[in-house]
Amino acid sequence: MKIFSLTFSLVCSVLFVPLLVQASEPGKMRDPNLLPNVRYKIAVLEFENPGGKLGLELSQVLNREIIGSMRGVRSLGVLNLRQDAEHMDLNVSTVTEIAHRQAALIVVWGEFYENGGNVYLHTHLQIVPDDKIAKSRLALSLQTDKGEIKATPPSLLINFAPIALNTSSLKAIQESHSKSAAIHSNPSESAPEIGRLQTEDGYEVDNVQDPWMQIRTRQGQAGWVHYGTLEEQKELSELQAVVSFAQGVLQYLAGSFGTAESTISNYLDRWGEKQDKANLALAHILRGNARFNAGGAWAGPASEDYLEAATLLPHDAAPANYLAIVRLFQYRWTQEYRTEMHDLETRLIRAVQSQNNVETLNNLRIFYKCAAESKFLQRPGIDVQPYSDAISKQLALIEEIASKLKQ
Amino acid sequence: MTDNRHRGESPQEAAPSAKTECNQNERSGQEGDDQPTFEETRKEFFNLLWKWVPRQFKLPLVALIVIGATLVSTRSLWYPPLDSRLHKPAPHGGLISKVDSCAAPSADARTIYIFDFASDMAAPEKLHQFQEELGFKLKKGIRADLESAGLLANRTLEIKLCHEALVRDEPDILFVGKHLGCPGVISGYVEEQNNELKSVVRFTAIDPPLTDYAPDTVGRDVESLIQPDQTVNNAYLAFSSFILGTLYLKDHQFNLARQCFQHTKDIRPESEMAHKADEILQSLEQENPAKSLVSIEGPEP
Repeated sequence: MKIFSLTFSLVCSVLFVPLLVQASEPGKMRDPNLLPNVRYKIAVLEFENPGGKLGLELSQVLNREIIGSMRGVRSLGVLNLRQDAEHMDLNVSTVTEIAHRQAALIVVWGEFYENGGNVYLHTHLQIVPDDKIAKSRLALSLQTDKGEIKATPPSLLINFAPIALNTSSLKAIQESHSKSAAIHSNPSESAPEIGRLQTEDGYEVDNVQDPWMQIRTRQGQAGWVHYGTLEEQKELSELQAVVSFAQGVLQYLAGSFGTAESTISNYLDRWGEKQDKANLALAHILRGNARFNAGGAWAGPASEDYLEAATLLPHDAAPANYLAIVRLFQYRWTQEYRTEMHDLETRLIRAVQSQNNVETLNNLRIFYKCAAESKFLQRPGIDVQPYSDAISKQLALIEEIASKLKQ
Repeated sequence: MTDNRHRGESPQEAAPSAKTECNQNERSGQEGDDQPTFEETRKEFFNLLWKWVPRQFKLPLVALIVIGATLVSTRSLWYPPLDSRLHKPAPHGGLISKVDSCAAPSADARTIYIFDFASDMAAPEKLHQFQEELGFKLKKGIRADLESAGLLANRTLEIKLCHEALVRDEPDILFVGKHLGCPGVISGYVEEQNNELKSVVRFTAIDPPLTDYAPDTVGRDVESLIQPDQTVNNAYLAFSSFILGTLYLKDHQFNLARQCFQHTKDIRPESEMAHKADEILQSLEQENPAKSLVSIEGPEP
């Protein structure tokens, strides 16, 4: 019996421990894959701060906040990557290269602008799915007997509203950094400090007691670290927007749809007011996707999210495509006229006209084929024949447009 | 045969040369002694030419040569001197060399240039610093905006500062733009009014031609013009999107061009560039394959 339980424990630890790992690893931007056995990774890059080391300290604060507060993601790795001797200019293509090298799904980076006594922080986040976007969870699809409806997100780059930091905020970054680097014997500020996390220290998280996490460094040092410093520093609290968005996206990509829905809702409620349209539109699309994936009962609220995204990005095809999936999921068998479907038709047509989007054109084709069978576009009082003729005419026109777009 | 005294060479310097010529003559003697020397040929050529000049033109020609030689030799005594400001230079002559130090000519088809803003400020170094910060912010911010709007599509649009040249008026701007081969130029001025700073930024697209102006924030300090607490001013974003649209138009990528012009309209409506973008959008609409697509209930009201 003893041998059996020992073998069972061993098998369990071999099979499941890698799935439960939560690790942080420092490195440089050109390093090869730093945590190859971890499934879901976020890379937090040293913020650009010409002539100061504040950029590295801030990225470390964010790193600890993200790993400590993440819920619902097994096998999480947060990489803290700094510049090396040869400075790397950070833009979408370079951060995407870093993400591919590290197999990271999210990259966070930013830069400081100094102006007199104040410093302004601009932060960006890029989602880099490990598969093609169309095959990743970011895309949605609905298989109908008339074909597959597809939707892909508009843009995977998010810019956050700049954060103004005054001199006391800069001190707050240093304080937060110092506070979150201290390793205590117990999860309490009054507990003795038994060590400090250095820039090169990687560690694993064994346990979390909000706002503390129990860690074990690669060198074997174990203890408790206070990760939740942003909430406590009023000047830095707006940085939680970045943490919250990154968490929501990773939870969604990891398939924790309920948790992702709640995190993104929190993000929109607390931080949405200041963010730009592209940022909010992606947040709404992700929340809509999380709701739709969470189950059929959420289809209504998911539609509301896509409609909100469509209001934010009126000329973008993506919200109309997502809306098409949800509404066809809801009404494709309906044998009566639905205003929602007429509204969807108008939106899809507008998206085809403004973007010549082939994905939308295909969705419109399937939409009409479904409409021909289920009559959700047939207004009361309109006979079957004129309705069928109108739909046939639309389908012929769509084929004509498709062939013109192929040329 | 040549005379070494005419060249001003010392006998020691001349010796090896003479020897060489001697050797050459020896070699040429072997080939044939009847070959005329260069001097002889030249003399013969001018004699022949002089004979061809009609008699009545000989005196005016000699007079012309003498006058020309006199003018050239007394150039330094002229007033105003050729290199003074009183003498009007060739148009854009000075600009070319300055602009060329910013970039290789005609090599920047995907670059928007920002030229130093004109100013009468007492501390030009502050303005220079402002330009540097503005350049850094624009490089980051414009790219981030275009990327997040999905408009770059694996293309590039660079932003470069050019401190070397100052461009003020429209002919200068157009000349510089065409000379650099760049699609757009940003310039402007900063001036002090009632103890406050006012900046006007000028946006110039080269093809199709467009000029737009954007008054910027008024502040006490030049650094406040950079508005670090905001993402990039919409005027810069709209202009960049417009320029990107013109580049897509030239590449016949009408769909992306349409989106860029639409983005310009969305982020800076009621501006000159939005009106121009609207004109282009309307002309593109004629080519839109989906223009005849309407809802089965008819067009929207």
